[in-house]
Amino acid sequence: MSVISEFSKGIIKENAVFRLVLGLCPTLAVTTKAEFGLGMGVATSAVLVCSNLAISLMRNFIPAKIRIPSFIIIIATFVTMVDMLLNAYMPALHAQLGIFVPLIVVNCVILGRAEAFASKSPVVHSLADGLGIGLGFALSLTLLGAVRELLGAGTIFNVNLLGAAYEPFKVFASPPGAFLALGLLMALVNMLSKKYKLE
Amino acid sequence: MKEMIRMGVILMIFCVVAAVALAFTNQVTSVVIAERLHQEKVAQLAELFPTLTNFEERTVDGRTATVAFDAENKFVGVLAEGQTEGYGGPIRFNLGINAAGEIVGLTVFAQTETPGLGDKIKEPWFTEQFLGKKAGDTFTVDAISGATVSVRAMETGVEREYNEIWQRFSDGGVAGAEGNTAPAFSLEGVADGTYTGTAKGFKGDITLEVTVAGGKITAINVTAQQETADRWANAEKVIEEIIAKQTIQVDAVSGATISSDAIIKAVQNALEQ
Amino acid sequence: MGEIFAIIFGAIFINNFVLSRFLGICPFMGVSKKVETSLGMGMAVTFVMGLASFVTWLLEYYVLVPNQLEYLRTIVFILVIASLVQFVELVIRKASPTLYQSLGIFLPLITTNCAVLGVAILNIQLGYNLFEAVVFGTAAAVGFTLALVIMAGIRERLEFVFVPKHFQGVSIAMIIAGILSLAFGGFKGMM
Repeated sequence: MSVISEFSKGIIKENAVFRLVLGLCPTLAVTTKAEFGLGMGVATSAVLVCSNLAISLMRNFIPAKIRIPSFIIIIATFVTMVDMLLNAYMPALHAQLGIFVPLIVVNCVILGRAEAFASKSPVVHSLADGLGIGLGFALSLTLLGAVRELLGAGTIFNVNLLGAAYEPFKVFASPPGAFLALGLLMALVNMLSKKYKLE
Repeated sequence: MKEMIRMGVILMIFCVVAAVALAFTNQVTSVVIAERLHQEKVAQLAELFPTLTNFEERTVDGRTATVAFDAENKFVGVLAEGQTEGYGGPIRFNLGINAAGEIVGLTVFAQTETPGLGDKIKEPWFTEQFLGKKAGDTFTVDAISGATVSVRAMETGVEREYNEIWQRFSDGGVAGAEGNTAPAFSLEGVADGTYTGTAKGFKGDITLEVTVAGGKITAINVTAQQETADRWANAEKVIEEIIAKQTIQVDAVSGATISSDAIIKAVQNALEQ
Repeated sequence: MGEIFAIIFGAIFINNFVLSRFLGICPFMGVSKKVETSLGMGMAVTFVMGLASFVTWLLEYYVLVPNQLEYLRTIVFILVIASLVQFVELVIRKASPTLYQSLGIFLPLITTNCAVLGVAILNIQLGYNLFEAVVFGTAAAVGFTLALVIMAGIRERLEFVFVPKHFQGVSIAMIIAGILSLAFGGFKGMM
């Protein structure tokens, strides 16, 4: 597969959230507002790209038997770095994402891509894969965040779109709403996939 | 066997590289973080205690707070962090109390309550309702519709943390501060008789009579106190200790530090006459 | 005693790990198709989470904090959890080969269950002592199992009901989870 298609597949066809159904915990937890979804998406993408790169570079040096612990060490290192950098340079986002920043290390997307792809593919392809999946993940989270923010507070990225008279569906800003919004969006994506024959 | 050693070594190398990379990042970022926190603290303190010239971190009874002083080194207030469990997770806030025991500042700096509902607790119009409250007041404020749990968490949390902080720092965190020792004490030169002493407790004055007979403290009789029942039950144990050890160099009872210290001071007062 | 009860009740009902804290969603969606497997998974997770709470607490307060290495918490915790899961895998394979078969790939996947790492970190953030940490970890896992079993019960019956084409699969499961979350939300006012 060409490098370009490695990149583009992650955005829609193999979208982590809606098609592969991976990385659901942060998806549901932080998407109360579009900006938090975007922040989390970017943080996760950063880790994904770095870890894909590192693992692909070292794929011939990591013995098969200890590959999972090795991947975990590499991923956890990048996660801790992102955690520290966010705390230092973007404290408001760091406080909002809270416990889900260190939890990036158990995001099935990252370990999944490391195992299924980066450990077997050349560096440039792994980089493209990481960027694509990461971008798709970030877009999904931002979309879910935007939907929940719009319905739950009438704004997107803190810009009031529905006017002062809008009485928000408060449920969408709280946990049940996360499940409902994601479920509905998934059904929508399923419908669009069938229609545009993405199977 | 050789295979295992080789794998073990490779894993070790990974761990070492990881640790070094992280230690380096930590060096860089922790400086930035510490600086930011310090700046925020200075700004915060200046806002709450306008006469502040310097401040110091003190630890009393396991609780750390920033104690502020004015130009004459007089205690003007204390700022400490408090925490309570809200609807979506822990709520952390900074509580500022002035020397008179009134809340002069409350800022919620970390919370994960529901946006548009519970997260209104961080807004000034909400936190301002707590200003002016002190020991003995009711800590209830106006409700926010759709955020009952968040509001109640703040009410109980602020009251609890206020009590914990004020109990330890109402005198600037001097008594009971780690490293402080009570003044040397001896019963020499104290004639037999009964002496009265008073000292300020947590809620009000504690007055007691100390009876000395045959060069020993034989009885301590409390004639007036206004402490809360469970705190007093704990603090009273100090009396038994003083009589048993024949010295006022006894430890305060944890959870009732101010009351215990007041009893000790009152006995000291009585005997110094 | 009241405190401990509050921790247990809180972890299972009021702030249920799956339905309120969003921890453990992936296995929640993946395993909850049959009640039996859900129970087996739940028990394995309960054991791991209780044990992990114990070990990680000790590591934090006896190794990381005294040496000012708190920033290594994530990496240390996840490695400990990965090892614990390996260990539990061996134990289950010996003790009950049938359970081992039915859990299949989901057993090693407990490592990536955010609930396990999540509870280890939460124990530190909430400032629990060792006993409270283990209680919280175990209770959280019980809450996870509860959510899992309820979901499995519902999904087993879903087989016999009409579900619109596009909602089949994870989509309808999410919506059901949303309703469950709403129901559990009723516990919020209790403390």
